[in-house]
Amino acid sequence: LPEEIDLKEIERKSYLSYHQDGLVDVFLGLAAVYIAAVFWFVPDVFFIFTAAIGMWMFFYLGAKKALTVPRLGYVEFSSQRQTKVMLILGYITLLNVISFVLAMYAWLIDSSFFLLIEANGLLVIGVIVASVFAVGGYGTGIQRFYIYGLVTLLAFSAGQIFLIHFALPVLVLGVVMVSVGAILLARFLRKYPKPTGGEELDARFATL
Amino acid sequence: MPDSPPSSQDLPSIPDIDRVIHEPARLTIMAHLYVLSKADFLFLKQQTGLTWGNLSSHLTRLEAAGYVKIEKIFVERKPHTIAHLTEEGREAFLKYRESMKQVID
Repeated sequence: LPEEIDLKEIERKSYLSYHQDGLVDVFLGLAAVYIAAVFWFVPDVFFIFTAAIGMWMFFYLGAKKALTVPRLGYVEFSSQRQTKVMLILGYITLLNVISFVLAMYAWLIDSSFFLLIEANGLLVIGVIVASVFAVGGYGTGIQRFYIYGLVTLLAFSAGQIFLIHFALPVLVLGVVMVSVGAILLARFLRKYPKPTGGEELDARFATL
Repeated sequence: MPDSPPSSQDLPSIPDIDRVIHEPARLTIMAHLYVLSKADFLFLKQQTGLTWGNLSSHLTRLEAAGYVKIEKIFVERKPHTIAHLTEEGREAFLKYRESMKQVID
């Protein structure tokens, strides 16, 4: 019935359909694998290599344009949706700033706090990264982000308990995300082959 | 005895329903364009499940009513024919929802 039109649900479905291609999982997962490799092979200069992670965003946007838009179409979401995404990015930025300030405080002022963080480093990082996934899942409605948050907590907790190298929990997270993303991408490409027939409609409004 | 269907005498009590929007396919298109800022034909087709032909005719009707504006835009040098609601279309959709609520309530 028309009165039952759930606009929020329509918006949510449209947004989720745009992210069912698994590209965000593949690229975040590849970024995690890359970070793990940097920390494993060149840990002393990790900051130089992790700075290159920004390039991932360009690759992601390029893949979105090459794979998703030709199959699903072009869309611009409402300003409310864009605000939600900006709030998530704001949360991640705030988290970075707080982490940096706390790290500086621990390092320069309170050595006991520094030792506490150092002794539980993997757990601290795991909780921070998991919280980012939780906020991302809540803000975007992409449920599998909660699973990634859980995987993060489990992998980093295990790393803390068994005192394994930092790179390994990150690698586990990356492999899980890439695997899930690859399955979603394959499913997406099967479900949405490049369509034909829209040219007539485009031509009908070609004089605009 | 089951309730008899409303007679034609009852009809004037129903507020004016916008017949352009009331058609289910056009209502679906309007609802999608109401919550999205802009969308091209392909995205609308995938979301609404309409055929190209149906989408074309309903968009033409909505455009003629002044509810939808269709224009070509270039996103990174690639052309996209996109549709979005006009201010008039937005108001008409809200009014339609209110009218339907009144009918049901």
